[in-house]
Amino acid sequence: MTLGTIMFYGGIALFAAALIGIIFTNIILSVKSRKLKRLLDDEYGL
Amino acid sequence: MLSEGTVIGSYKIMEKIGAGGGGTVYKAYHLNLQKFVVVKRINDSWANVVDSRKEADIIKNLKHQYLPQAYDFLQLEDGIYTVMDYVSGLSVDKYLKNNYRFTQQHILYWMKQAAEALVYLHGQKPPIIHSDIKPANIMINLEGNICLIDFNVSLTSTPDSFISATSRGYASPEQYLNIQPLNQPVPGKRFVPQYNFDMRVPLDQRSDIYSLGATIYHMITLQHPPHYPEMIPEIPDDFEGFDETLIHIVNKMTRYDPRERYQSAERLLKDLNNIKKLDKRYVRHKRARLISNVVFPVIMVGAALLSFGGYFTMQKESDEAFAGKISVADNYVENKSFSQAEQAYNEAMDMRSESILPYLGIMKIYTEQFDFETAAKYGKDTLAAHTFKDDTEKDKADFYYILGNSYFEQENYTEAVKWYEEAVELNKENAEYYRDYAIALARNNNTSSAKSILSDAKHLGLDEASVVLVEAEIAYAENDSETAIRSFKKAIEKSSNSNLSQRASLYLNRIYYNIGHYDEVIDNLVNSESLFNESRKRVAKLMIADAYKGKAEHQRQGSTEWTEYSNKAISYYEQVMSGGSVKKMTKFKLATVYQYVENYVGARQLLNGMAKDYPDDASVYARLAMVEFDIQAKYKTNDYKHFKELYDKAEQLNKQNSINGNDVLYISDMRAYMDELKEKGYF
Repeated sequence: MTLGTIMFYGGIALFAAALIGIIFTNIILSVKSRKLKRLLDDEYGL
Repeated sequence: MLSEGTVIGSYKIMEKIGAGGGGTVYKAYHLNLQKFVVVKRINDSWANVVDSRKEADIIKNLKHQYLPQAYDFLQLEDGIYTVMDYVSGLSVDKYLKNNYRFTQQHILYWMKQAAEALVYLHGQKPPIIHSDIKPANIMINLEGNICLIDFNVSLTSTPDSFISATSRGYASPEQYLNIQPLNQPVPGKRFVPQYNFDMRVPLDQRSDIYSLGATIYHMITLQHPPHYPEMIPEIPDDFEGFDETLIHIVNKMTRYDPRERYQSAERLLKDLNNIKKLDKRYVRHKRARLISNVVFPVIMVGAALLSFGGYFTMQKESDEAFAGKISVADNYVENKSFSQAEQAYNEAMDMRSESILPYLGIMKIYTEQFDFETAAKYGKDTLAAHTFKDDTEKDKADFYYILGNSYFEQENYTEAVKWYEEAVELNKENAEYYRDYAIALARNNNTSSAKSILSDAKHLGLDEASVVLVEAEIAYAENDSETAIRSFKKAIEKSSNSNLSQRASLYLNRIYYNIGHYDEVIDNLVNSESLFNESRKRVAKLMIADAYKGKAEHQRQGSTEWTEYSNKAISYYEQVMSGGSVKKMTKFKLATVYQYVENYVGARQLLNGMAKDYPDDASVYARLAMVEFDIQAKYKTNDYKHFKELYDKAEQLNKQNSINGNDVLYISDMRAYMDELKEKGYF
């Protein structure tokens, strides 16, 4: 396996991983965001 | 003190409802409007510093949902009174006295309202400082909203705005400093404090912020704020029931030093409105979002760049691997390891099927083995079967040039011209292409085009020796052998390039051969054979063989010289044959010379081999028939049955394959043999 192959496929894999990461993180953060909003609304009032 | 039922202006005093540093507060009844109002009598100690009319105008103009509406400002003989809305509800201090525990939501809700009221007051021109914010002056009305009451004497932020109420614990430190009296109380006497007004610090909005903070402190902790000079302690961050963010805001409001507090009610209100965004959990969440939205895209961009880089690196590596493979294959060709070279070129084809270079290499393998016929066929088939995209014009031009050379070496100058022309089209800067193109044109008897191409070649800087070489070819094509010979000699003399001088030498001797100067050919080439490279050495040997054959044919048949020259010719032909593929005509020549020396076995073996290679060639069978004739004649067996079979086969193939009715080679000779036999009555 050459350096170019490693870079090319590594880059694609990393890109895909980052894409999955950002989607997954955003889903989690969105859920957390809603929960936090409810919590803060509850604590500080609307 | 006013007693119940007293009437001041239009106001009938109902009851006393409070008293503080600023004055005494009464519930009264507005006789004209028929509604309850609050009348406050301002303390005498302040009354002398109030600009009554000015204050009256200011207070009356105040209109805010969290402030009571001021109706009147009365300056009577016994004092100064302010008249405001009566707010139904309970003041915060009432709740506090009952140890009511406020929730964070309530406190925040009221804090915002109080801050809005302060923003309004402080925003007046000149700014109005409440100066007596405390639980007793914050009413919670029946709707659950606050009303900031008891404007004592509302104070403008003018140089004389040091007048203040001094509700203990709630007044700011600077308010306390302003009310340090010059005199001390004397027991038994009414104490009337005397102030040095010149020493006082003007109050500003930060004082109200402090008082509001102290009030909130009390509401949160249920502890009365300590009295001056003791500082209000900070509320711990983890105070039960309250978030750290709100605690921080309150602690900041109650800083001893005004510079460390909120510098304006607007700023305080902004923080209260954004309190959720100031919460640590929100900040952490926001940071996580930011990191997610920055880090991942950065990684993605980096990954994309990495991938792009990888793609180009792969391309480069692929180019290098391909070039390496071609280079290895070329080395194999150079070292005459043709099978390994072919394998390497095939591997290169697998790596890059759309490159012409491996095919060019395969052609070189054939040309290096003098198999120009196969090379030409392979080249044409390759061009018909493939579309090459990966190569430069130069690579393609090289391919066409080699293809042209293959035809040139087969003396098929028409095809050679065609492919040289293609090469020149694609690479207009290679003078050698023009040179060989011109030579091929000359050999094709198209001397005018040859001259034109030579002219182009000269413009491209074709060296002098090459120019002379082409001129010699043109002269020879124009049947000017003398000039051609002279020019070839000149080309040999001028050439610093051994390749060119070898070519010139061979071309020169070709002329000698064609004009029957066999001895010149033999002398020139036998002595200089070692000067030629492998490829040309073979051509030279062939020319020597042809020259000996020519010499033999000029001797009496069967003479010693005839046999000697024939044997020498055979020797050279066999050397050429052992060196690789040869032209069909060379084989015919060898077969002929074998016949000269009566080596019929050799001749028949050679021609039978040719019959396998060229099963449709009438010439082979005609030649075989002639050998058969000689055998029968020599051994006097006179069995011409096999001759007749070969004759018939040759005639049949000649009929099938002749072009425009012209007989192929040896057919007329064979017929002469048949005529002789017919004359003798064999047929």
